[in-house]
Amino acid sequence: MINKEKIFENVKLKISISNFDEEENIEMKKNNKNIFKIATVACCLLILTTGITFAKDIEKIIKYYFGDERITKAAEQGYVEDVNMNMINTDTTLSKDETEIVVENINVSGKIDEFLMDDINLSTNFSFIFDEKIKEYFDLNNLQRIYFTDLIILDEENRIVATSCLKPDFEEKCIEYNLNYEFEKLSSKMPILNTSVISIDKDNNLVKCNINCNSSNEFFENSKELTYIFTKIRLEKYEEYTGQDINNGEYLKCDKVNLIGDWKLNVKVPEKMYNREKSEYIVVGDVHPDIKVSYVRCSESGFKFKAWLLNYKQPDLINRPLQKEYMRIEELVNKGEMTWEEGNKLISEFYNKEENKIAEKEWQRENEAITRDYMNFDENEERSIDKITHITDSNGNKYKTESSSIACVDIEQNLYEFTADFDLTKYNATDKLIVTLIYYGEPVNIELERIK
Amino acid sequence: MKSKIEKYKNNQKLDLEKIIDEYSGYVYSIIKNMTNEYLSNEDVEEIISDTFFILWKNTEKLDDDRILSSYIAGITKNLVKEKSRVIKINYDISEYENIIQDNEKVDMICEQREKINILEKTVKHLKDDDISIFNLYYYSSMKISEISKALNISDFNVKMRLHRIRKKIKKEFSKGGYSDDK
Repeated sequence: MINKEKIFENVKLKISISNFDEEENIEMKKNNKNIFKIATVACCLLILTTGITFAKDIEKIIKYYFGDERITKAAEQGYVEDVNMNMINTDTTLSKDETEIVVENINVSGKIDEFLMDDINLSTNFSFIFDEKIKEYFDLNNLQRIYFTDLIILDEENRIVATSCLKPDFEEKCIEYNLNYEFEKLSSKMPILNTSVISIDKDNNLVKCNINCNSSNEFFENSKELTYIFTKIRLEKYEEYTGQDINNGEYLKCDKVNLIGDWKLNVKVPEKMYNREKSEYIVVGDVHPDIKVSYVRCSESGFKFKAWLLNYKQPDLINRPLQKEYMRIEELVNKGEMTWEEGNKLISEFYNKEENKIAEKEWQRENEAITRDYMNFDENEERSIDKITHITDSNGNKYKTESSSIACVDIEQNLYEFTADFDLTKYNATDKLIVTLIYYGEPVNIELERIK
Repeated sequence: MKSKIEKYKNNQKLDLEKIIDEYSGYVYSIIKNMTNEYLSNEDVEEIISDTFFILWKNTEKLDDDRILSSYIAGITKNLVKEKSRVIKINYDISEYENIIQDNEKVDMICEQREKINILEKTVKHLKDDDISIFNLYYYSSMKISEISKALNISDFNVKMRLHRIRKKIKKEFSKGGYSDDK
């Protein structure tokens, strides 16, 4: 029979998500298998009237999904390379961390499906088919994270394009492949790697995933060939939360397996990618004396902005009102003088007092060098893009940062560097742009012009 | 099952709890009669939940003078038809043709439902407390201060967790979610 309570909970959740979606306006991705079902039905219905072209178009939309909207759009514009590669079989050894189970002869075959390389991103989609035996040790259907912990990508001149290796693996790889690099010197120049699971076909044990390398201090070279070398794949499933802390930290119990094998996958980079044109912007007009723009570059799949902050102040966390109150409560809880329940109540009361809210805001204004996130606003406050760092194009469209960081370049000279990837690309960036940095609470406009 | 819509409306809002309490059995029997029990319990539950969700989404389009059961039967019929395309079952709607009146106004919000189903899988991975906060904020439209009072935690904590939930959903969704085989 039906469980009315469960139905009501399900409906409530659907309504919450619908309201959340309306507020956040999350854009629909076209990679999901459910969508594939819809697309398949649509193809079947429409193929009769419009022929194969439509079916191919649908297939294309689903096929080019790179986990990042801007990269996916670049691929949809044709800036992508389809790789015609056979599955490469590897016999692996599986180990499970917590139980110390080790199993040999687990077959894993893998291949590269497609990739895209420009100045800012090298994004690659892979397919892996896992041995049926893996089901005894890991539920692929619940796979949430996949890691390639010793990946190294080399180009035709044996240059390291990207790597996920830590020092021991890195040094081992350098010896094995005759690479003349020092880990410490190279690591700060290396792109940032992100992996994501794109889809799982549990019936065929097929996992599609993406590795995205996002350039950090140096842009990608015009490489003509890429070789992806790795021996370790880690599959993870987070099972449950075991706690949390005030600074957003979460402790998760994690089910994971490691597969040790040997993969070496090689692809040719098409001419449109290695002969790509550079698109850079220069600053026109005056800029705030505390800010020195180091470069602004746009690519098929991204937009990178870097500036030195010449008068950066370390956030004074000790005197942050909320932090002080939290630490006071934490001490009392640790001494056993109150419970966290009572403590949370006090923190809540503290935060709700108008004078404390003002003090907290004031602290943020004085301590946050560049505001990038809506996080600083009250729920009831208007969350306008003008209150966070953004770019405005010549048509008045505004784009926020997708990711950003402030890193120390030289501690003695108090030199810090702000890096931001903005949500625009070569396909929509206009020749003139205005970057608005919210610098210690005040907007600082930087006018940019594309170099012809 | 002859009650008019107006009976279930309060300040232009549908009293969903009451509707689900009174009409879940009705939807269940429609599905079972139409499909000769070919559907799994999971599929039946999904159709029932979607029926009420679609009804809620169409609140403004519902005519207060009409009988609620005619809308519900119409939506259920469409959802069973939709399901039959995917899992190829035969269904029989002859018994309900007389009950279902003109349901053209009702939007089945197919694409949106698809998207919500994907997001739902991510949300269900959250821990129960976070789902409660998410529902209190987005379903019950409670303010941060009301939620913190209800759950006896700080405003800051609620704000942080809501921020984290939003971030997590968007992040997971942008990655394409997980497998969703059924």
